[in-house]
Amino acid sequence: MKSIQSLVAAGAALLMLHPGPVFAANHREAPITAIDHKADITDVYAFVSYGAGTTPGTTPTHVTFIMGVDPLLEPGNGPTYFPFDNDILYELKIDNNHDAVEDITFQFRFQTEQRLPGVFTVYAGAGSGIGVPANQPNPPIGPTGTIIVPPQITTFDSPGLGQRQRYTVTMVKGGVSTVVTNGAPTYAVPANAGPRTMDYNALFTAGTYSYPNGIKTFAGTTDDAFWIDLGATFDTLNLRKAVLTPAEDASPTNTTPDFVSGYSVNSIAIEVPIEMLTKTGKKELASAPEATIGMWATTSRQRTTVRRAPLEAQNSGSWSQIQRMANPLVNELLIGVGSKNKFSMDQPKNDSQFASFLLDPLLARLLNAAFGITVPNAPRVDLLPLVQYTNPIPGAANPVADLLRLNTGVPATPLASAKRLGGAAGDPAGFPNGRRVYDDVTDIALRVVAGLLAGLSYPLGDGVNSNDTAYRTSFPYLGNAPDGRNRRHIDPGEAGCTAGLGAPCLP
Amino acid sequence: MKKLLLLCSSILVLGSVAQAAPCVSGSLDSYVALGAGGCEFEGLTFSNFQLLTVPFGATELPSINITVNPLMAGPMGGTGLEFALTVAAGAGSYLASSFQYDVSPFVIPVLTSVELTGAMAMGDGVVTALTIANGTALIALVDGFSSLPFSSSVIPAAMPFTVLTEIGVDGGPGGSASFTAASNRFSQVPEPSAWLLTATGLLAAGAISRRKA
Repeated sequence: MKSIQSLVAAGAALLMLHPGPVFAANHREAPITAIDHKADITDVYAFVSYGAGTTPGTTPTHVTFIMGVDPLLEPGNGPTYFPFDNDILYELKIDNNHDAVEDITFQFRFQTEQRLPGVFTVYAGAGSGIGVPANQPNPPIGPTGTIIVPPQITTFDSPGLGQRQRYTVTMVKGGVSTVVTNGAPTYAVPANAGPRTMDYNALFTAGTYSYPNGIKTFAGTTDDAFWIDLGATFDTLNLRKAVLTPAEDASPTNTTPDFVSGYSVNSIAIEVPIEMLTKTGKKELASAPEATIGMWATTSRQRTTVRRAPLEAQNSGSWSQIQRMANPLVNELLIGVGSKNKFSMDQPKNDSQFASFLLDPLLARLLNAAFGITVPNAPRVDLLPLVQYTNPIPGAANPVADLLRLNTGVPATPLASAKRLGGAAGDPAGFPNGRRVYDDVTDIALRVVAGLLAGLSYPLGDGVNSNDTAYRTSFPYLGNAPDGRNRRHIDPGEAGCTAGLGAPCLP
Repeated sequence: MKKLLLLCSSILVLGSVAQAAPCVSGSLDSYVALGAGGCEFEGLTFSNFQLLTVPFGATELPSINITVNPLMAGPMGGTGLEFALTVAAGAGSYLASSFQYDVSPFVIPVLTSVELTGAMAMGDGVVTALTIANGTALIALVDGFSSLPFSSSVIPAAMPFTVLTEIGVDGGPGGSASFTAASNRFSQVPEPSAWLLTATGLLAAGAISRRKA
């Protein structure tokens, strides 16, 4: 029986880690979210907050959680762009007693207003505004110089911000709901329509909110923080690069195209004092079991929708989960297509049911076949630490579950010394101890599936080592959304493979 | 040859005419206890009742408190069963019961219906009765904005004809809902081919009987 449990656990472990032949975090990974892309969670991050001045050993004080939704948004895709869905309940869930059941939930809801119902586009602005000329057609709008195009959008009250979204954040803890955003309205940062229309950076700054209880929130359209050679991967592992040279491995330079470059994603972020997250209500040392939390994100819709054209659809009933995500690439690459929807809609505490997909991971066999490397035999017990709470938490007592686990007692690594390969490169604050925006989870996952935790070390990677956009060094840590007029997707063979600079990408 | 013809004719005739047997009012639990034998009412056998897991987030309605009442065919529809329980759900409360059973014999398409009675909802509360009969889904729904308490469809016959019914009394995040009963009804809808089959059987049986005489 014990061996069966181990087998199941190992299988589930593989489920969590197996990056499979494709590495797109979780963009369009299940049939249900390939259709319902507004509810599609692309990536989830959880890490001890850091800053430009972080020094080694700085005592952790806050944790940042980020969830991305609505993948691969083409920045120029007006006129209505990419609002959050008013009908979706976006949630970040935290388990602080290691039973894979949420103890704290942060709920995000959005409300959309159309402030320019007579204008054909939701964002309009230029300089200090454009007035009507003397030769305006009849009937005249007003005297010559009457503003017809509003000034550049610089604040959430700018008249050209036609589509404006407010949001609320509610913390549910111990059965008690507390509205975090109580008080002044909080707005989502809009898509970056272009430099003439808006000062996106100013909106980004204005859309980062702080509250007296130490929480910060952000919601808006941002750069997609993930990177990968997506097209080559989905062309049945027709990778341009799979084994890195030592120089390539050590460099942030890209040799292959980042297929997510130039695309936006809708992001939700919250920074929370650690005392509000731990079971004990205080900061814990890394050696204390209570320091470690698990988290995942979900999207839900109400159970019933009645469509009554030409009236808007009406929703009713309780919330029903559409998707969840914790570790990157799990549903994307491990779960069979026939079970992806079920995985999406189920709960982490039930993940042992998916073990059959993981007992003998296909990806490991593909790596073995494609590159001739030796991979561990099934069952892959070496992957177990990634799907269970581990030291200092008793391993046998907690369930196999896809959670992004974070030891809140481990100090953030200063940016200058942080490693893109995170824990695989000896950086204790990186994935799989939580996940930072700049952790190269594609390469890490490849190596782990190939047997890194079993002592087999191969320099595997897709050749994309860094993002195309700079990350912020403070909350919410995300980069600016590419602007719709000037966005650039970096293609195969194109010059400037690394964020638009340097040598061309491999063709 | 004659015996064989008579046997085939009998099978054809019997195959297109349902048998009758009694069902009585009782709890859903008592129907589950009937097992594969089930009970019969107006020529239909209802059997293999099973309780199913309710959706995530729902509190299961106690099956012992759900009363199953046989329904006679009439102007409201075919023979069927009513599942009755007076219950209300407030905001944040979602009550549900999910079960399935088999109905037989059906050899021709079945007009199947699901209906809610005594259902009310306010705000974003909703009462639903979802029926999946031989793979076809029907839903009756009453929410704070719409009243769609009846749904029906002609569904291909099957042996067994399995019916999954899920009742949801859902107060939603900020509304309320109440419920009295949901029902399923079944009436066979002969297609021209089915009529032809029956007529052929009857004619053959008649011809054989006349020859014997």
